[in-house]
Amino acid sequence: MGPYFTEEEEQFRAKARAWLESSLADGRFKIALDEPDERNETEWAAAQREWDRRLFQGGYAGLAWPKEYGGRGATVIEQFIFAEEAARAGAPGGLNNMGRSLIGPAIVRHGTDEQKKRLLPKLLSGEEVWAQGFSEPNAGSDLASLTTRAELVGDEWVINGQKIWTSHGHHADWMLLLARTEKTDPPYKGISAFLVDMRSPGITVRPIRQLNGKTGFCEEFFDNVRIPKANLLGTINSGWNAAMTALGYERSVLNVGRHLVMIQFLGRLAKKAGNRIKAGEQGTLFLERLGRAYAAAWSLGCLQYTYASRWAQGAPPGPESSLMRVTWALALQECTELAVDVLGPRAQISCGPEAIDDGDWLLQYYSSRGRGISSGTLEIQRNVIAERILGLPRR
Amino acid sequence: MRFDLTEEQKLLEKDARNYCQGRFGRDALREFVSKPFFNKERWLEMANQGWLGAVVSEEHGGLGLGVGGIFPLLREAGKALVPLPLWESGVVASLLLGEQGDKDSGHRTLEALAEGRAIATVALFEEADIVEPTCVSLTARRDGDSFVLSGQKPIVAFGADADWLIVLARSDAGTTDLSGLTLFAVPANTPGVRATDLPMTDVTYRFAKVEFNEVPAAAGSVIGEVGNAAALLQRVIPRAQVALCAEMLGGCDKVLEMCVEYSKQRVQFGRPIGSFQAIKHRLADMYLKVSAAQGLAYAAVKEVDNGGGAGSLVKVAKAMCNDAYRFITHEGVQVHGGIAFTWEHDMHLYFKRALRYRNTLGTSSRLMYEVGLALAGGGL
Repeated sequence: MGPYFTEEEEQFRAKARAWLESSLADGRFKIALDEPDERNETEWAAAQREWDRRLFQGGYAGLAWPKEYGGRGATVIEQFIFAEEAARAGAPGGLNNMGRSLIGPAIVRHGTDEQKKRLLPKLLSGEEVWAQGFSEPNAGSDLASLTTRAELVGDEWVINGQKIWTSHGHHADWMLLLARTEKTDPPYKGISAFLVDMRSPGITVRPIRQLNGKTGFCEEFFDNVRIPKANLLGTINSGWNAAMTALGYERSVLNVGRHLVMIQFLGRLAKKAGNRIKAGEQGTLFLERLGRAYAAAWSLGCLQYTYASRWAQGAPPGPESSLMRVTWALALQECTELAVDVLGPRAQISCGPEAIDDGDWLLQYYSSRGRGISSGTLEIQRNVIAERILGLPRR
Repeated sequence: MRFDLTEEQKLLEKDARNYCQGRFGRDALREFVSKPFFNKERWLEMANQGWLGAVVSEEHGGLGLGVGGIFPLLREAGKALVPLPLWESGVVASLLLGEQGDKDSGHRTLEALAEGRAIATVALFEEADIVEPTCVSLTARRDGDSFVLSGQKPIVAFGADADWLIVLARSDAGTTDLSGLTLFAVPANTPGVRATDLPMTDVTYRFAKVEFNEVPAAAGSVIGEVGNAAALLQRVIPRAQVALCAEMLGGCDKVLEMCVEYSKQRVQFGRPIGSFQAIKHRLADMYLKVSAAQGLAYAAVKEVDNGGGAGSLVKVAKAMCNDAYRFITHEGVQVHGGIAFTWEHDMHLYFKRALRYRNTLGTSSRLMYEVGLALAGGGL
């Protein structure tokens, strides 16, 4: 049963751990663990960019990428181990995490030689930051119904429409954009993927202030934006494949190690709330919830081991990412809700000296509510589990 | 990296699945439900496969495989609702007797258990389901070198069938805490032992109330040392809990299978009910819970079989298996609708078993509380 790692894997872990420890030693990345707000945006972005740079210099930026594109060609278990160690060490994601983990692999798989040569080196080094332009105001869970249009006019694609919920959109140099190139039934068959230079005339980017007060994502308006014909990724009307390649990575390896973050969170909470949870009947009730939150966090850890073991034996990442996604979101919501309940009324003070830890616990609680929505709502994930794992009929 | 059954475990899983499904199909099970009995023939078959001595150490005539070595068998047994005391005799009693040191009597008993010549059961707690100061009022009074047992154990699985009873008793009347407890291995045919059949919710198992009326217990029947039962139980209970996880997971597997099958076939409003999101999401949640419970149980096996002190992960696994089986059987009744509320349908057999398991060796509330306490004390 296990989990049991091979000797080589343990050696890789030791190396990764040592590198992370020394790279994080100067402590300047704490700000990058959270989303930015208006006050710290500049400082936050600088720290994130610095992390992108260190990952590249350390040879960990293209962990999963083939060696011919500057990657490490690491095994899926090495990716797993690095993600776990990064979570344990409290490493930030970097500004270009989306580019490295999702978009890069899609370009590797679907791009032309020219696109790869032009785009991948700067993506990998963090010099050019990428964003994902998928969701629209009227195409969320039903992504395939998107209506942003791309028309071929002469040697250029002309793009009109709107994208939304784009992480770090206002820092992006490039975007992987999905747009409709044909009205089809089913709608996903008329979607194409484009590589869009965000400095193209006609693009307006607006940060969105979130429930938690942060500005983690943006909306973008495309008004007769012209991009070269050669910036189509893959063939026309095959954009859905590129999107699925990107989302496949997003939903698998990106979840790894998140249980460790939650377990650390609970450890800090137990310390912080020591007096309130050790006394009286209320304390007993809180302790049971603390145990349940810990169990929820470990559930995610054990699911990750279960599937990593299958990947190690050659199974490609598949719909199980939905299991991990749901388990993570629910566990995180359980952990953070416990925190704001157990820490008492002062946990409601948003920031400042009267707040507990400058309102960080409250912020975590806010953010956790978004985790049941982003990258596919809990309901969509449950549909995936029911249809693709249990084989229930779609209609 | 590996987090999966070993090749040996996969072989055992296959053998156990063939055996359990072949021998404990619906007819056999229904025969048991209408007239519960101890099936000696099946018991000997399982002994011949080596299954009854799997966790017993090699020096005591067993295979010394640890909980991992019997896990797939217990899962299949839980799936088929095997109505035999595999867990009581083959796991808990065997592990406790294995703690007896090099006493001759214990050695012989273990051999008999492994060969299926005798069966043992555990008569540990009274008003509790796990070790706590008030869990025992049955007394063991000193009488020269030996003891005399008086009191009763209200619920003992296969209590009327077992040859050996592993009895937890208060041997030091001056104590009210865990320090004065001792374990005894008592032959069931000792004068003064009386077992009466008990109508319990789990109709796929057998239960008795066992009374001890001035029952003599020789010094040699003490397991471990006098007054040392609590420590011994703390060593064995984590392994017993993980073994229960295996049985619970088997039940979860079967009920989920039944639900998926049914919701694909059952048509209402002109569609299979499994095409409705209300049903899909229930089934997805079932799958989520059993997947997590399985992963936690696997990790817990590593913890108990590697000989380290069992920590919170075992408690987490037991609690999450409790919850998964509860959830899956509750939702299973709901998904099947009216047919699941009949005696004829098998769903209630699983539903009732789930209730038994979650009140054996730790309810979720208690276990989660203990995990929280360990975390708050910095003990994780």
